[in-house]
Parts: sequence; structure tokens; C-alpha cells
Amino acid sequence: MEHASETEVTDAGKHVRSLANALHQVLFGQEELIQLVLTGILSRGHILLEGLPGLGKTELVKGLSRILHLDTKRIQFTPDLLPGDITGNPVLQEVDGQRQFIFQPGPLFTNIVLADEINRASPKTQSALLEAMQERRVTVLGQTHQLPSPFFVLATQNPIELEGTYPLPEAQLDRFLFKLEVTRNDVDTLERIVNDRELGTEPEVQAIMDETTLEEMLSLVRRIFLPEVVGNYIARLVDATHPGQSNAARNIKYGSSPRAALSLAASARAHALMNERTHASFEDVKFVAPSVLRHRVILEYNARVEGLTANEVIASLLEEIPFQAGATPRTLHQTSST
Amino acid sequence: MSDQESSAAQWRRLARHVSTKINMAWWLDKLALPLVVSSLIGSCLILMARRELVQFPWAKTIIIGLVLLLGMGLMAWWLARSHFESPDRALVRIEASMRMRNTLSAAKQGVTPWPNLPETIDDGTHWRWSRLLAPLLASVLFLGTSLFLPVSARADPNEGPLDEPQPWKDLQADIETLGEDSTVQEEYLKELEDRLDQLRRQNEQEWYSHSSVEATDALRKMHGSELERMERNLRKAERALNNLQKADGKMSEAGKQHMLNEFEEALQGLNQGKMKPNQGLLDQLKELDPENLEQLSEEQLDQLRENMKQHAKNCQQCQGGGEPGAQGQGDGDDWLNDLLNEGPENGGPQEKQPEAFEKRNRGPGSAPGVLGQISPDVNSGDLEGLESTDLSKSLPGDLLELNTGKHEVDRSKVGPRAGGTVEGEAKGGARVWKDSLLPSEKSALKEFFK
Repeated sequence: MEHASETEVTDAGKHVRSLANALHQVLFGQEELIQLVLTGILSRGHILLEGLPGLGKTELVKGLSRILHLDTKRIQFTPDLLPGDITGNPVLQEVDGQRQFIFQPGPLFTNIVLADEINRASPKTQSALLEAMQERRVTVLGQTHQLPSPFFVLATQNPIELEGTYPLPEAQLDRFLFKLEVTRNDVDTLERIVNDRELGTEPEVQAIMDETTLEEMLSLVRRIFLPEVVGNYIARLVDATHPGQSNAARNIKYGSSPRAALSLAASARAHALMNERTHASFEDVKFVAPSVLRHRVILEYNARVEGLTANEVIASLLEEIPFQAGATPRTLHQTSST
Repeated sequence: MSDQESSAAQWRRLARHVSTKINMAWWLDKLALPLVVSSLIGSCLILMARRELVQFPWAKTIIIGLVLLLGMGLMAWWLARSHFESPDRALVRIEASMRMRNTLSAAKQGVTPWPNLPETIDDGTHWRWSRLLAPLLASVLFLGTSLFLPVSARADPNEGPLDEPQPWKDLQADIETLGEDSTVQEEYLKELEDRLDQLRRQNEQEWYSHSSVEATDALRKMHGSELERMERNLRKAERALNNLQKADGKMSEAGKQHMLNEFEEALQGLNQGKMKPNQGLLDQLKELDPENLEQLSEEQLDQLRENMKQHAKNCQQCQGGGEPGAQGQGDGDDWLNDLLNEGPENGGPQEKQPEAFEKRNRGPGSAPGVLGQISPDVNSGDLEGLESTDLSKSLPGDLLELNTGKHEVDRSKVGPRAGGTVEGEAKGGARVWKDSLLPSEKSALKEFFK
């Protein structure tokens, strides 16, 4: 595969910048979140947004769909939602004088699915998302239906009011490229929101990119060069999440899967493209690693009791694992944490 | 050469430089422990060699040291080899420390152009001098200490005959002196020389052994004692003769008899001892009749006395006889002391051991406190009577005190009485101890029945 050229990367970078600027008009004061959401989209990944109600998770997704000019459907997950409600159901219809089951596509058949409060649906319904997210297709009554491309699932979940919810199983969590934490705004941002927005009205944004341009950018991400040493760093980082492989991993019960390594590589490439580089770097991996790994490690009971979070464990992991593979001799002092 | 090629060459050169630095650091890291351990062992060996060998082999030591150093260097290289970094990996280290976002790795693959070499290069490492120099300094310290610490080499057994003990030399000198002057008979000197030769014939390493010193000391004491005895007897006999000669018949019978006895005892002593004066002198003395000194002229008597004095002096001058002058003090007047002390047997100047011999002992013993601090004397072993003044623990039957007081015993006769009748003040029960007992007895009983 031919590597991305400087020109291609520069053009793509301009598009991404305009996308980010547009999203900044939708969501104030969340620069890093927007950058990570765009990175996830460019990596063809599904994103899980976690945050308290009212922080703009849904607005972000809706704004993204408008900017990208993609078909979007919103599913409000509730305990009584059935798998067929999201995948679609066969309906008995008369065609040419004969009665046949005709498949009626559900809301999954779209480009962007906004799965609101995903943890309120039953495990059965949640698992219906598994095939759709991973294979990008749906099978109903033995018939497989391909989902449109591009296909993204952007799910939200509320970390509080957990009564009556069904925490997502690890297998399903692993299918999300990123788990992003939406944090509250500072006073300046709140002031800006109060001055610029009104309750019940949505911000007006124009479509910046069409489907074709997005597909071109998605394929360009795959052509971003990933140096061997960066791949080696990703491998060492993922390996270090397993108990016994690093000091930080003593607080981890189960480490990350190879899918995490692939996700790191893909998102590092996307982040490099966003920064108009033809190759990914250690810094790209370090930037996306918390979002990729935080939902892919299961902490030890003792660590949870001590109040440690996955973010803290991953931060210490990133601190511990050096960029270069070789150790440094004791007769030398390493001046940087690299 | 284009700019790109030039930049690439510069970066690769820099990577090689960093790689060399890292590999050198690994090599030194692996060399540190063997260097310290081997220098420690080497120091011990050098100290032992300096102690055992008369001539320390400097050249061999330096060659062996260099070979060992070379061997250790090779071993450290072998151990460090698995950690060595290639220039490509050093390039990664450089781009990581300089936060170049893997531009060099991408440029190496031809994805991006080589960047220009910045003015300041940081490979992210610098030497840790304390860790680097500590093993080296420790090794130098160990080796320097072992080389320059003053250690005396053992004596070379092939150096020459061992110097024989001084007492032997003294005895040999005595034999020669006494033999030259013919002061004593040859038999004694021959026996003494035989015994000395017997000591000499043992292994030279044994000359200063405990048994040899003991034997030498015994021989020396015996010789000294014989010298002293002969000298004393000669002087005694000479004094007796002198007194008899000077008295010239004016001496009282008792005094004369005493002098005769003195002379007889001295002659007997000279005749019985192991060391005897030469045969000529002994024969002269035997033939001499002290009661009838007129048979000899005054010159002959003077000659005889002078001869005896000379013999005594010869004995005194011998090494085995003690320091010259230590004996014979009060020459000519000691006989009065002998008289006052009722003869030499009851102690006197003759009983004194020669000072030279008194010096021979087993030393003053171990120095005080050599085995640690001396503990204060707690009078352990002394039996001291303990007297308890605490009467609270006494039991009936314990001796509380001795008192001259007497118990008031009711000695009035009580006749037979009917049951239940009371005829007088009660004398038994509580009355007994309340009224009749001594205060100390009362308190003891109170304590007991508490």
C-alpha cells in the first residue's frame, strides 16, 4: 500500500480542522473531546461517551451528523427495548399475490447511530449491537443484511443513577474504539453557553463534508505510515496491561486484548493525519492510549477499594513504559521519561 | 552529495555515536561488579604473597593483573552484548528524547525527508559519574592498600643459620672462660658442653620453642647455682683461713672452732658439688691442716688464699653467675653476718638468687583488661551473713529475738472443778497471746493469722 503523501495529508488536515471548528460551534470548551471524537470517526471506530446528563453528549453527536452530512438515527435505549426494535423485523406482506416476509430495516440501518443511555437496555438488546458494531451487518431470520457505510455507533451512558441499568459486558465494551469521558464545563464556557444558546433550540451548523470525502479520508488514514518502533511501543504497552508484565499492572486483574493494540494503531494513525503528518508517532499513541485502554482493563478489587481509577493506572503505565525498546544501563541517567 | 544525503549521513553518524555511548555504558555496568570483587580477591592474594614471599614478584603480578583485567573486560562484553544497541535503535532514542515525533524513523523508511541536524543534540542520557567511578575507586583503593600497606615478609629459611639463643652463648662463654683459667675441673665443663650440644643438635626451628627455652633455663639455673655455690664455698674457706691466719693463736677456742668448722664445711661443699675447683687447688686444700697452719709459711698461705680468691672471682665473672659485682659484696666481712645469722642455712646473702636468674620468669602475666573492661569487684565468693529485719514474714518457731525476760506462767494449782463453772480469770485462749506473749511474738502471730 502506498503511503500517504504530504499533499494528501495537508488537504485532509484542512478538512479536519474545518470539522473541528464546526464542532466547536456546537460544543463549547471541549477541545480535547472533539479532537478525540474526530480521531475515533477517522479510525472508523465506535465511541462510548460517558458523562453526566446535560453536558452535551447528544448535541455533539447530532452536530457531528449534520456536519458530516450523514444519515443519523437516534435510539433511546430503555429496558423494554427488544433486539428487533433496533435491527428491524420481517413483516408479512403480499407481493405478486403471494404472502412473504419482507424485512423492514430498523434504526441501525443508518450511517451514525446515536445509542442514547445504552446501559438502560437489556443485555439481549445490547448484544444485538455486537454483530452490527463488529461486522457492520445484521442477521434476521437467517438473512444477513449489510449496514450502510460508513457506520458508526456513538453511544452515551450515564455514570450515575445506575439502578435499573445493565452495565455493558466486557465483550461489548471491547468493541468500542474509545470510551470518552465528558467532563463539566468551566465558568467561562458556561458563560459562553448562557450568552450564545437558548433552551430548546439547536445550534445551526452547515454540512462541511460529504460522504465521499469522508470515505477518502478514512482510506487515507489507513495509508498513514506506522513506523515499526511505534508498533513495537503499542505492543509493549498492551502487553504491559497484563498482570505481572509491569509495575502498574499489579492493580489490573485482566489486561487488554489484541483488539486494543489494533485500535491504538488505527487511532494513532488518525491522530497523525489530524496533525498533518504522514506517519504516526509515539506521541500519537500516548495521546489516544487512555481513551483506548480505559474500558479495556479490569481493575483488581484492592485497587478499586483504594479508589484507584483506570485512568490513573493507565497514566502510570504510560509513565513506566519507555518509547524505545531497550533498557538504559545504570551507569547512564535518563533525563527524559522517554 | 545532496542535502538529504548529507542530513542522513549526519544523523546516522550521530546515531552511531549514541549507540557507542550506550554500549560502553552497558559494558562498564557489567564490568563494575567483577572488577570490585576481583580487586578485593586480588588484594587479599597480594597481601598473602607479600607476607609469604621474600621477594614480591612485581612483574608477574602486573602481567597477571593485566590478563585478568582483559579477561574481565571480555566477560563483561559477553554479558553486556545482549543489551547492546544498534545505531537504528539509537536513532529512535534520539528522536524520542528530542520529541521529533518519529520523524527519523519515518525518514529512514523514506516516508518523510530527513530533518536538518539541530544545533543541540540530546540523546536523553548523561553519564552517572558516581555509579561509574565508585567501582573504579574501590578497586584502586583495594589494590593500593594491598600494595602499600606495610607488611613484613616471613624470614627466609634459606637465608642462613639461625642466631642461637643468648643463654647458650653465655654458657659457652662461661665454659671457655672457666676452661682457659682452669678454674674448675674438666669433667664438669665437658658435661655442661655435652648438654649444650644436645640442645644445639635439635632442629633450628625448635631452638626458641617452649621446651627448648625451658631446658635452657634449667641448664642455666643449674650452672649458675653451681657457680654460686663454688664461689661461696671458696670465699668461705678463704675467709676462714684468713681469720685463722690473722688470729695467730689469739682467738678464743669457740671462735677458732667455728672457723675450723667453716673451713671444713666449705671444703666439704667444694668436694661434693658438681662443679669442683681444679684438682691442684682442691688437693692443696685437702692436704691443709687448718689447726696447724704453721706448717706453711705466710707466703704460702697468702698464695693459697690469693689462689682461692682468684677462683672465686673467676666464678663471679662468669655470665651464669649473674651480673658482675652482684655477688661478693661485703667481701671479707660477710662472715660476721653469717655468724650473726647463725650460719648460712638460715638465710642470708648466700640464699639470694642471682639477679640474672631472678629475671628469668614467665612474665608478669596477661595485661589487665586485655580481655575487656574489668568489672568492679562485687566481693563474689565472700560469704556475708544476712540479717532480716522484716518480721512480717516470720513464722511460729522462727527465732525473732533473744530476750532475758521470762514468760509469766500461772503456777497456781487448779483443783478439779465442775463443768461450766468459772473460778478465776481466764488464762488460756486469747489471753495467752494477748497477755502472756512478748510484743514481737504477738505481732508475728498477728501476721500469721491475718
